[in-house]
Amino acid sequence: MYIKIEQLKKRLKKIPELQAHRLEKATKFSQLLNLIMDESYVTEEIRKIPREDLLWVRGLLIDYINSDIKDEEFWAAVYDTMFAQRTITKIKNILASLPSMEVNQYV
Amino acid sequence: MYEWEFTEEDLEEAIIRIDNLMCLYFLEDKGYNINDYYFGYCNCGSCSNDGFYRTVVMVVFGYEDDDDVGLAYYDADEWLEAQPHKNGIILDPYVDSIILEIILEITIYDPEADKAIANLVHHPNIIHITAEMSTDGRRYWRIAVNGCETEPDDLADICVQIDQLKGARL
Repeated sequence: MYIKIEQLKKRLKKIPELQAHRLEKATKFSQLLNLIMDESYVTEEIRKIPREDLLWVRGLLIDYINSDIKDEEFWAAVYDTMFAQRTITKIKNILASLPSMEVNQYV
Repeated sequence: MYEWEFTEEDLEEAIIRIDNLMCLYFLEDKGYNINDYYFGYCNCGSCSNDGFYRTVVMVVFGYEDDDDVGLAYYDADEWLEAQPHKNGIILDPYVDSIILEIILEITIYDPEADKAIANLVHHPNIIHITAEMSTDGRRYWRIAVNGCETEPDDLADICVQIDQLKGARL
């Protein structure tokens, strides 16, 4: 079984049309949003998110709802990174649930 | 680019989850333990944010499960008709231009439930608050609020008032 986790990770880091700081912002937003959506209990991971970051994510979501003209490149990067992160997480979870071998032995 | 984007449901769920977390941090700042409590949002379309309303009560009252917390929604007129002698309650359907159509009734079983304390709790969304005893002899708080306007923050405020008044009584 061969799963292209490394390729997915590269894709996560490589969106050439976006400036570095905007890509960083899109990646941070995606990571935080995935965490907030994937977890439903106040865990250590959730508590690591600073409150100002929660409000920052909320503000961007409100902007997304309210603005007619969206920053398409930024949101495309968000979609891209969220999709890649979710795919990696799903694959890791599947692999982790398999018996006998460590995750890195499958990839 | 992938062929998906945020749906209205996704956005609503994300914002509610963040608001729920901020509500828990408000309670933590008041001294309550919020670790491992639920802040999620079902988004099934029928149960709204009920799970989190229960969380708010559990955090303030220190409950580890929600067996002692009940939530029920009623049509405002039907709810009023069901009150014994209407409890002296007058429901103005347009109080402060807010339409009162739905009553959310929260029941919290608590041996310390006390009518004298209930009379001291104030919040603009409260329609009726009292302490009663069930047929099996258990005391409980019965809190009726405007079901359309009451957010978890409002319930948190009401519960914290009850808890502080209980503490002041001792």
